[in-house]
Amino acid sequence: MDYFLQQVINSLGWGSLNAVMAAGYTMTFGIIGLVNFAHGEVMMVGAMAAFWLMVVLKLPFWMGCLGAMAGSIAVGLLIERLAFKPLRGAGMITLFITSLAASFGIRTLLIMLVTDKLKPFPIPDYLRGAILLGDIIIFKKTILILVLTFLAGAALIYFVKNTKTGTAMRAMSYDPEIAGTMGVNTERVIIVTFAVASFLAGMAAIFWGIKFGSVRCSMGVIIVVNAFIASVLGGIGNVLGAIVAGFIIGVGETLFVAYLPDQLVGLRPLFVWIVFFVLLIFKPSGLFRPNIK
Amino acid sequence: MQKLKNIILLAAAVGLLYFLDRCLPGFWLTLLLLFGINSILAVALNITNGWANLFSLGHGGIMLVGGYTAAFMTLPVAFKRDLLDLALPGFLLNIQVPFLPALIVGGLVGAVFGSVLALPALRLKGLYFLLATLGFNFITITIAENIPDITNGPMGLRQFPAHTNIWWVWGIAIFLIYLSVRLRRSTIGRALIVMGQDEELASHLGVNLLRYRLYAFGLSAFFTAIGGILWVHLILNLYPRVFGLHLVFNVVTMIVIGGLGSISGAVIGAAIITGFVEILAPLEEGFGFFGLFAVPRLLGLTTLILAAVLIVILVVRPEGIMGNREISWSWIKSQWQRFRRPQ
Amino acid sequence: MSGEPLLKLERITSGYGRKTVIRDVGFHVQQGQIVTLLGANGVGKTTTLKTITGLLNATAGRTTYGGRDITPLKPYEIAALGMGYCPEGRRVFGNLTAHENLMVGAYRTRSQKDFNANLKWIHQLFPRLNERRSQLSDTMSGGEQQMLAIGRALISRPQLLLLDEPSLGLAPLVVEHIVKTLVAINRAGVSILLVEQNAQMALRISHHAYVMDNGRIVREGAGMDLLQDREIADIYLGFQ
Repeated sequence: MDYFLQQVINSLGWGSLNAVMAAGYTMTFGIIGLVNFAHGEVMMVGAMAAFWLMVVLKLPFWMGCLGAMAGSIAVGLLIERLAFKPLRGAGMITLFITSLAASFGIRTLLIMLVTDKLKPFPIPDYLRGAILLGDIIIFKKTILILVLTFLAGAALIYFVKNTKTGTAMRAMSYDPEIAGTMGVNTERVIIVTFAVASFLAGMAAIFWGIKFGSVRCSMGVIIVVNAFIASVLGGIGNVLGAIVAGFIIGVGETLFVAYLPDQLVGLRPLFVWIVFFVLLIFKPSGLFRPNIK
Repeated sequence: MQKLKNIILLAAAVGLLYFLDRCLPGFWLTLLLLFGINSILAVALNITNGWANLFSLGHGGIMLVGGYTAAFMTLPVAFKRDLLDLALPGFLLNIQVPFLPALIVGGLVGAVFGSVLALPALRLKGLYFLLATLGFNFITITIAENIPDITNGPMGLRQFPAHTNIWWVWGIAIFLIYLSVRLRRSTIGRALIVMGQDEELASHLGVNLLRYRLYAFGLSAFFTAIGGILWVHLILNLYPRVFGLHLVFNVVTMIVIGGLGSISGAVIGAAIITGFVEILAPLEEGFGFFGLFAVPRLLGLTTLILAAVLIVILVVRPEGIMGNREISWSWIKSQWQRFRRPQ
Repeated sequence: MSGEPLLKLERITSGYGRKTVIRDVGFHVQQGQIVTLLGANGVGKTTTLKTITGLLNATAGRTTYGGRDITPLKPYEIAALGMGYCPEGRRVFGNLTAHENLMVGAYRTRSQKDFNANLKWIHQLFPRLNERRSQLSDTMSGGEQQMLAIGRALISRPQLLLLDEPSLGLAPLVVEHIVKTLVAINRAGVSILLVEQNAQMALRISHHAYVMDNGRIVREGAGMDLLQDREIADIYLGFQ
């Protein structure tokens, strides 16, 4: 039992990462029908920006965090402007292929610039250490990540449910044409959506650095598949659903690996795909109500 | 008369291949072989992604399965049994098979494996089907990496006999192109294309959707697997990751640039991508520019440029170079007219 | 009822991609009028409305609204000029509640006070919307959804209201209610452009009407006159 609980606690950081990435992913998926494979790179660029500021320029941690957010938002909006906006109205498959291309392109560019070697992500002292709860170890950084995720999630859900722009976003996910005729500036709402999603990716970058202590150029690939499957699991366009689904996948994946025999540990990536196929067979609309037609 | 014309054409082709095989320097010959293999992969992919409009990314997994199957047959016994002690059945472990049966068996295994993809196509909408095929790829690679007793895991297999040559590659490529051209005009081919354009119409016309999807995936997978086997016996190396997203993406780029639904487009796309990759390869390694200065290693430049090119094509001319038409005199004429009289 | 019309279409040609659906369409709506566009299925009535609202781009011709050329404008810009749109098939936002639908309809309304006042007005016109305000519009009946769609178009207090087949698929009692409501809001100053297949219902309340056939305007006249016209009934509208 203790082993199980410890595994769950250990996985909460990874679960938060997945939740935050899935939340951003489901927003862009809902609003323009885009399965954005480049979202992982949006996170990665934020992580690289933080690394560069903290390790190369030797700036303090808080500046690194700001840099991560700024980097992610900049890249996210850039991709939207260059790759997705010119394809407004194109089919989902075309958009997906484009996002694949963008993902490859950005990753390759970054690898050319800084190589795919692990880069350290220094964290301040107050984030080190752990507390003991009976026999269970809880790292301080996990607590921080959880708290931040909770706050961000609550703010996001409030934004989407209770503000004019958030309601407009949900309306656009359902019927973008008609939303336009009500006076909703659809282009601006799309930009806001991408900015928020990229902001969340920037947060995820910081979480990653804090949890793993290092970042690398290929980090986006691992998480983007989890993010998209989580957004399908949670109901497309449903932010609360994505957050819950992200935790389910993060914790589930860790438990899956924890209970596998040693030599089969490499089967970790199979977990999300099993979830995906089971979902498609039994409940393709997801656990929660999607925001699309 | 027609028969004589065909015989002359065939003889000319054989002569040309013989000439090229003897006279081309190594680099150019390899380039030609890669072009041929890519053509096979692209034309095969066009059958499902272009004609049948079932956009699939599963060809990586198919090549992997076909490649390993053939590998088990063609690898030298000393390597399989003595060095690695692979957990293969006796009849595979103890013999080394020539290329043709390995190609055929590998192709068939790939075809069966790939036909499995036809099943979810019925229930899943376009995007979900695409993602499912992506999963198919990932799952295949992950499993292959984790059964080292059979596949030697991520390290992969070496010591391949260098079977691939111009006759195999271009013989099969020309055969596949010929087959595709015939197929396109045949009843089965036209049923496939109708099914791709409008499912409801097709099923009203009596097309059994499941059966035709199986045909499409089976045929496409057969040649995709063969393409993979040819490739493995050219680069003499096989490991699961090599069939990952990078390769999958390259083939997709070929048919998008060439034009979805066009055989000639697939070949043109293959030519462009092969040329691009090989000509940019030295840039990636870095080289001395006439001794004046050294161009630094730009590993990945090709991928970057290809990604950018793909995005530009999708925005500016999504139907690709050929659209879904084939090269013919009327096409050439229409392009010339467009050039002279801009709309 | 004189002077510059509120909405004017001149030689509008439009369609989907390469396919032209309407050709050389011209008509106008005077301030304070109810104008109906009649025609059988598929003649281009919806295409005309979509072109006016900016959802489709006209390939030729000009649309003027309040004296201003709105042909090149985007839908949200046209909405901001005071045009309300109630589309064919209702198209409420099924994932939002009735109240949220109205919120989106009032997207351009700046002040909370104005919104509250307008909301009250809509609730007076359609009390059912108040009762059902926290209900997901997906789960509402056809009639309720229609009322919601109209309310959503009205809540921004538009000068001109465009309605595409509001009576389609609804029970006669509900249609009556909608007709009465349209007359009432017209009296309150809202001009209405109505697209309908149900000629009886529409002509009864229209000041003026145009008949479309095959993508063109073929007849026009005062509502009452056309109502009595046998020819229209038989040839263009396909009812008895």
